[in-house]
Amino acid sequence: MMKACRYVLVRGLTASVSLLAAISIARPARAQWSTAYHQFYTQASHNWAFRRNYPAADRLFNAFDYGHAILYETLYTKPNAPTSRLEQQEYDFITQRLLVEPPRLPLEESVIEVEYAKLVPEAKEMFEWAHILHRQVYDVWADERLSAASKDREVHRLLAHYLARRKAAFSTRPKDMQLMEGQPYSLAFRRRYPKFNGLIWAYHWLQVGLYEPLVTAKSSEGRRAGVDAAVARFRAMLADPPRSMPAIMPMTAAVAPEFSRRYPEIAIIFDNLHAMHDVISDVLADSTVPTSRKRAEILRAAARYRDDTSSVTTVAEWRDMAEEMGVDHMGGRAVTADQPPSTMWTSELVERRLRDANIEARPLPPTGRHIFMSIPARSYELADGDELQVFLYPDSASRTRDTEKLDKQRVAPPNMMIKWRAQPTLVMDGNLAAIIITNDEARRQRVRDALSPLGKPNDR
Amino acid sequence: MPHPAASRVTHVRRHGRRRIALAVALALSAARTLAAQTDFYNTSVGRPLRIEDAVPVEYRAVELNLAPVRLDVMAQDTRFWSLHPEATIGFLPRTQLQLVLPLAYVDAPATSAHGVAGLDVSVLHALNMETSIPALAVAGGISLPIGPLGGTATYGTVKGMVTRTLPWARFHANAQLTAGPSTSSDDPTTSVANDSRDLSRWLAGLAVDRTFAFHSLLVTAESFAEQPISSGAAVAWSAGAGLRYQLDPRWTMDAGIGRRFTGDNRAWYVTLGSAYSLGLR
Repeated sequence: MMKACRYVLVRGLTASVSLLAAISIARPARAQWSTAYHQFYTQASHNWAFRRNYPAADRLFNAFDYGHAILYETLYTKPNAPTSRLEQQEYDFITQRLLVEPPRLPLEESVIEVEYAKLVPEAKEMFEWAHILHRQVYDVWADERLSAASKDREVHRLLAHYLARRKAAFSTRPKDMQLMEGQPYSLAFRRRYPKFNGLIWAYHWLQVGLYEPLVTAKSSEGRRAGVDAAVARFRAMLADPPRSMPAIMPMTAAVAPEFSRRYPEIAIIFDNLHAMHDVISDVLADSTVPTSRKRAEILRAAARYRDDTSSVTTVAEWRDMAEEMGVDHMGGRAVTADQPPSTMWTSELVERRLRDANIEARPLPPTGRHIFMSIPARSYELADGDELQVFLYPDSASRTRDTEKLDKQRVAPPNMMIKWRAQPTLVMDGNLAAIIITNDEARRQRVRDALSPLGKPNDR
Repeated sequence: MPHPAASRVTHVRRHGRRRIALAVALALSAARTLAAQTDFYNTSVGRPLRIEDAVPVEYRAVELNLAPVRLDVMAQDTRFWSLHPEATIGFLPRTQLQLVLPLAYVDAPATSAHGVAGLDVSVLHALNMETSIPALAVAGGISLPIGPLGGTATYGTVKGMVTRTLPWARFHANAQLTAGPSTSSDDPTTSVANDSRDLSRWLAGLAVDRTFAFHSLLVTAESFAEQPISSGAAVAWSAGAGLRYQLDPRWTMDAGIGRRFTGDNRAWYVTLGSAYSLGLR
């Protein structure tokens, strides 16, 4: 009896090991040795505060995990599946079931995107690491025990912790659109799957849009109302897809301007994260990229989004790009319930913003209006003879009519040569247009920051 | 000639201890895959089965198994209870350190004993992250003879682990060897003590698990063979099944049941435990 048992045991183990070995050496042509690794979130008193205080919004993120994961897995493992697989089958499941009753816990994505996770664990880890930063920043701002100063300290500590993993961290330098939309594979996904692409952008809108009410509201009630409003806006995006969805990638500087002003590096990280999401979708969806090259293409894109040199643009250009692309096309600006978006720029507000930023600005006597602007400027002399020209319109539509005719780089009509005394920079927000005329880059940035979009707590 | 009850105790202990020793060797194997929020996905020795995945706890994670309990029910009304308090720390990328301090209680018709049953220290290092190449990990540990049931000798264990993930299931293979003196069944006291440390001269086995992602639930089954550390003991074959369930982002619970079908110490066993995850500051 014992011999028989031993025989069965040995044969069984041998067969099992053989099976495992066979499974293990499958697809040797794409064998890759990866030393990526997982890292735990930073231990802190604010851990899971967002989950406790905003459970409905938090659970949505668990559903988002599935959407991203099933997207990549389907694109990678079923490249010839009909479009309806994602556009109808999965979309309907996500929007009619998963987002209606989201999972109570974060999902183990590698169970859903099994083959994709094995294809590029390095890219997956970049996403996870950035998502941890996402969640921990929510936690900081959801923790009502912390003062604003403490929150800022915590967020900067989290940022430093995040950036310490150079092989997993996205760059804090903004990247130009060439990286996302100028590659051979670019746009493949959104053209074939406009509805699912809109869903992903709606996810990304909410992920950054939630920060704005958290950062700008004056009270816990205000934060709660703002978060509820953001979630409601997100759900409204699903009402009439894809028309009701974002038409372009939501950029943090436009959707959450005050958050972006407060933490520009983090906002840039999230934009790079979301852009790389789109890039991977394109690589996986593009049939001209053979399966054998998909890992290499994704790793190449990942390296570009990590480094501080590839396709880098300036923070100013990044803000301009966000503004020029039109926040309305991104799903709209996130606002808090106690800060309605009807706040207008006034000369008093401009001057208060400058004072708050410790910028010396002496009003200059009125001069004639520029031939390319419909209203005269209110001008201020800055240090070293630099100048700030402010145009306050009755509404944002009037302002847009003027500024849309300008070449934003030269701050002049395209067919007109204007000789500025120094490098001009155009700032636009709502009913405000402003031209900063200086060759001092630091000063330019300080003024830009001072004129960051409306929504700050004391703007009214 | 050992007392019959002592022999039974030896069996039971070895069974439970084996888990501990494994836990020792594997110790760190509290392998969890992703973020701690999905700790249920990462199996480790004894949580709930003996065969574990080839993934360590995350870097900078701390996992505390404060009171995982195991009961072995053996022949002739002999029961072996054990608690395996464990601490696992991801102290380097893909590398964990695990400390286990087993506490045991033997309840036999003619014999009972309780106390610390050794101290196990182990390190597990994942060589890679799974791609088209399976996840591979190695572990090494020592089991120290500490406590009234801790035996008399120190043992060293080396172990290899492989994990392969398919869309419908994960497969794990473990193999381990232990160096140290064989216990003699002629000396009941020594034998009982060493057996209580759950040591095997060698062990090899396979496990398969299936994850229900939306429910944060993992169901798993295993089968393994081992050569007991006692001299002259027959190879024993065991099979078991269990589950891991995520209660909340920090808490995970596990439960398992198994049977040693062959060998000198056949027994049923059940396990129940929970783990709490936190991170280093």
